[in-house]
Amino acid sequence: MDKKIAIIAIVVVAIVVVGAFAVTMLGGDDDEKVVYWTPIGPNLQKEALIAGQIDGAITWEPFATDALLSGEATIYKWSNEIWEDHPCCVVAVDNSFLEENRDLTLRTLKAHIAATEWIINTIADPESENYTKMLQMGAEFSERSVEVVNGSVSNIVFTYNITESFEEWMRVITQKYIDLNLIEESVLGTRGYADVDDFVANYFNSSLLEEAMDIQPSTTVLNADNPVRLGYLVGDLHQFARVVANNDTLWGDGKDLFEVYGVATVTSEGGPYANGGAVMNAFAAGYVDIGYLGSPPAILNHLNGGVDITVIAQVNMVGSAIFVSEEITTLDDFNGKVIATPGISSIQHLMFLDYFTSNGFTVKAL
Amino acid sequence: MVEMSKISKKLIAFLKPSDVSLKTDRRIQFVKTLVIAVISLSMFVMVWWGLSEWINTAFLPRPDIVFEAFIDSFQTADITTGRTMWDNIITSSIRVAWGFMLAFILAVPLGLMMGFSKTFESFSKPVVEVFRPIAPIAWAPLLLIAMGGIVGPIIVIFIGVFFPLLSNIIFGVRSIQPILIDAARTLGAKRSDMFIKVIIPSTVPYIMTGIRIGLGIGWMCVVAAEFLGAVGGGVGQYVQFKTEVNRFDQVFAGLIVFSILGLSTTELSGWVEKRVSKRMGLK
Repeated sequence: MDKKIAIIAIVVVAIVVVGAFAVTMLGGDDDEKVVYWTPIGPNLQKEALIAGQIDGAITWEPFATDALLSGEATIYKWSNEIWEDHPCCVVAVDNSFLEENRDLTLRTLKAHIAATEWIINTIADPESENYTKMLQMGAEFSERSVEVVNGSVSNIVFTYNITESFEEWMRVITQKYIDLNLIEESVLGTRGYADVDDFVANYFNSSLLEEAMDIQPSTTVLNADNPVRLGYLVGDLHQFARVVANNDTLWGDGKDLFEVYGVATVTSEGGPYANGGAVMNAFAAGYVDIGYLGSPPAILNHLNGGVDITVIAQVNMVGSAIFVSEEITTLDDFNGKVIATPGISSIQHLMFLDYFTSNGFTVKAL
Repeated sequence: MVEMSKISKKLIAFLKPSDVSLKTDRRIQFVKTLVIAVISLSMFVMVWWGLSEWINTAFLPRPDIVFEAFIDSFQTADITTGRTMWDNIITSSIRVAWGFMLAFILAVPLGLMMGFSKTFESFSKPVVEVFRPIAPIAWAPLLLIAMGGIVGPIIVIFIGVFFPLLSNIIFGVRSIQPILIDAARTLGAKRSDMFIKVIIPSTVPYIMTGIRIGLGIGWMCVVAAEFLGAVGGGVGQYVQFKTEVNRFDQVFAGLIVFSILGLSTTELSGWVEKRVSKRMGLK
């Protein structure tokens, strides 16, 4: 009996090992087009390309322009060519913080609005002194050259309004996640939403923006002992408004723009973060009061993980790209290649998945 | 008198357990253990269910939802990784097998030599002792960058398996009864004969114990290595990706797979260990 069991065990192990070998070494349909992905932070993607670890990457600015200007990569497609006028980053607030600190939230939002308007006006006047200052700020924050920042800002559309077009995009993105089985449709009900329309109508709240418009500067800082904890991403120029608002050389009296509107802020525990998923985890852990992050992780981790936040403003539209090595010039060239994404919950990853699956590729993790 | 003798023989036969009654006892014991295990697991699932209903958080999904995700992970290739759970199990198993084989090939001769020769032990021990206290998982970030996502995890597993295996083999050699060595010497065994015919066979049960412990640690190491950036899939990578998108039902499904894999591997090696020890007359 024991011998029989031993023989069966050996046979099973042998079948598994031989089968695995066959699948690994011999398997695969010759006609199947496969593109592989691996998670690499945007600030390391160019180096990974140079080292030959990847063949390309989908990334946000300034890292796309940085790769392009380095001469090591070409841009295969700007995100605007894949998803025309797509939204990207948003401002979200922890709901319990909002409940207890509505005034501080509105003041923070007002600073975001003012900073965004400042960026829009500054980009419109590239000869101005402010433009030079803006490039320097961007270079310092992203640790890239002013030339890279100059190229990057022209690829990003800065905005703050929650428009109908933005809401339509949120419906599309949510539905894509459901179709890809990254979100189960039933979870909408679990979170208290009737359907996708109801979710978008409630989760993306434009009323705070309207209220914030009337906020006036404050002579005193209202929360000096208890600063608002801001979450944001490492070197992401999409979130330039936060950088501008935190600058204390532009607004007089050595105050930053948040302080002008009466709010003390501090970078949240563990920040800045590698991607939007990490910002959502920091929200869940109670480290962040107000955060800048991509709209897809805000959707994904709110619905799947129940992270209790509300999106209260847009930050930017477009401004991402797929950069590749010189070997890749056509879509077919991606077959068998490895593309880095900033992380599974990023908008760039969703765009990558959507683009390649809709073009007949099988997407596999490396 | 004759009648008395017959009665006492019958009584002795009744009291002495026969093979049949021994087998029956074992079966009863097995069924009893099985019933207790089923009750224990059922209670665990009930507590889990109640707790998830009571806490009502996405982080602790209900067992039925996890079960659904578990079944689905085997049936459907995951959209983000392009792999089913079967693919991930095969990848993780191959990693553990490679790491284990490397450790086995190195630890067995090294352990036997260290246990057998004082000079060799004095030479090797300082180096071994420097590396032994370092947790294998602490090597993972460095090895994954230095050796890549394919070889790196295997080396992490190798480190995890190597040291328990080595320690057990050295202990095994030291535990050989001096009388055996003296007897072999008296019978004229040379040093090489002693090594091949006394030391190696006597150490086999200890090697088996080392294998059992090492495999358990190997499964823990594969989780860490796959979390941190292994290439080519794996159950750990699946759990990591699912955590990032907050699909906690699938995270739990991955954890259950790890439990089954670890348990079945250590149970199998435990069973082999028992057989070997029995055959060697140690248990």
